[in-house]
Amino acid sequence: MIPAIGTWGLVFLVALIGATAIIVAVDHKLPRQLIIAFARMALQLLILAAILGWLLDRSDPITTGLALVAIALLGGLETAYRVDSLYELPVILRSVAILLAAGAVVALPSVLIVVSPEPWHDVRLVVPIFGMAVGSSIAGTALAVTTLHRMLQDGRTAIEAQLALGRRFTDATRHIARQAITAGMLPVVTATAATGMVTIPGMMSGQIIAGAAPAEAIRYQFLIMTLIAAVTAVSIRANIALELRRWTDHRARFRARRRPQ
Amino acid sequence: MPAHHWRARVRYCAAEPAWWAQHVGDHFPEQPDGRALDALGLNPSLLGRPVAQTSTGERQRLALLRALQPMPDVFLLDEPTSALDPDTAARVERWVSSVVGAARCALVVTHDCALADRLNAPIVSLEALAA
Repeated sequence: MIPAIGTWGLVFLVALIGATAIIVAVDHKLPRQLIIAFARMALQLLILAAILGWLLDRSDPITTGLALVAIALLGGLETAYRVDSLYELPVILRSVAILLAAGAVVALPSVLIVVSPEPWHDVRLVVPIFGMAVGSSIAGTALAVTTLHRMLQDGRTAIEAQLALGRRFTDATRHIARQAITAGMLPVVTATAATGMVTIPGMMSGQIIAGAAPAEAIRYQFLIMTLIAAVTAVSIRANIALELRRWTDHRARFRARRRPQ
Repeated sequence: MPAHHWRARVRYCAAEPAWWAQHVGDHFPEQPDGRALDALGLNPSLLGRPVAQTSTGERQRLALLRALQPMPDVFLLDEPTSALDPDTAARVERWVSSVVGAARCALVVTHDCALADRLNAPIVSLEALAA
């Protein structure tokens, strides 16, 4: 077991936050923002701990399954929210559905195959790993769809010129879709390539602090990076394909969408 | 009929053609031969050049050449000679007439009454219609 952080330890941490706020008091707003951020984090972590504790107590497959659905739901909402304020119902539903599908088809079976937890719905394994994979796909997906939007807006005449020559909409936008997918995946690729350099990855640090052997912890890091890449790839491909359909109609014309403010 | 089949047969040529690739030649599924280029007064070296290094008149004529791939039944030409000097415009007019020939048809929109007369085709004057 790792040594617990006691009340005096927490008091010390709060004092350290206060001191940090004073150090950055070069701007009258910054200390306040810092303290509010920590207060927010504390509240969120308390709620998270309560929920995870409850899930661990119950430890039945249906409750755990609902928790995974809730993670995908929040992840989908966040993805839609981040795409240039394109907060429309179809986009929200789509993002949620894609994350649910990616989680159910890719992340969950992978955890079961690779780790084979006992019981198979072990909250300790399934929930955090699922959460990390889904959560990490948000930024990449939002970046890919945002890139797609920008390039479609800028490339309207070029796309219409190709349509006029009898090309299908998917062919006329293939180049743009390719660049959007690349833009969304690149951060995952660079993060993977940098894993283990300079810093010890967050999850691995946690495992080592909790007493795991480094040789075991790196296998989990391998698992999580693979799941992040896989879920992000599925999410980006599906979102880009479905988003493209929103920019055309049954007569294969280019339909501009309102530029987000 | 799917839209892309329709557009393969009815070709709209915008007054200001747009380009989606860097080089001129990338816009042609089949590279046009020297004779086809010469008929429009275009230098074959244009195909290897970046689109940004071509003139407005060159791009207007290149877009007409591009419009033949695939060969449509009907041309919708919006101001096809607007950026051209009189000699080149005459060349383009002859080219349009020969491409359209007897088998195809073209609908040309222009502000140039002389061009309309020279094409020797039925003219619909919007001014007359409005009056």
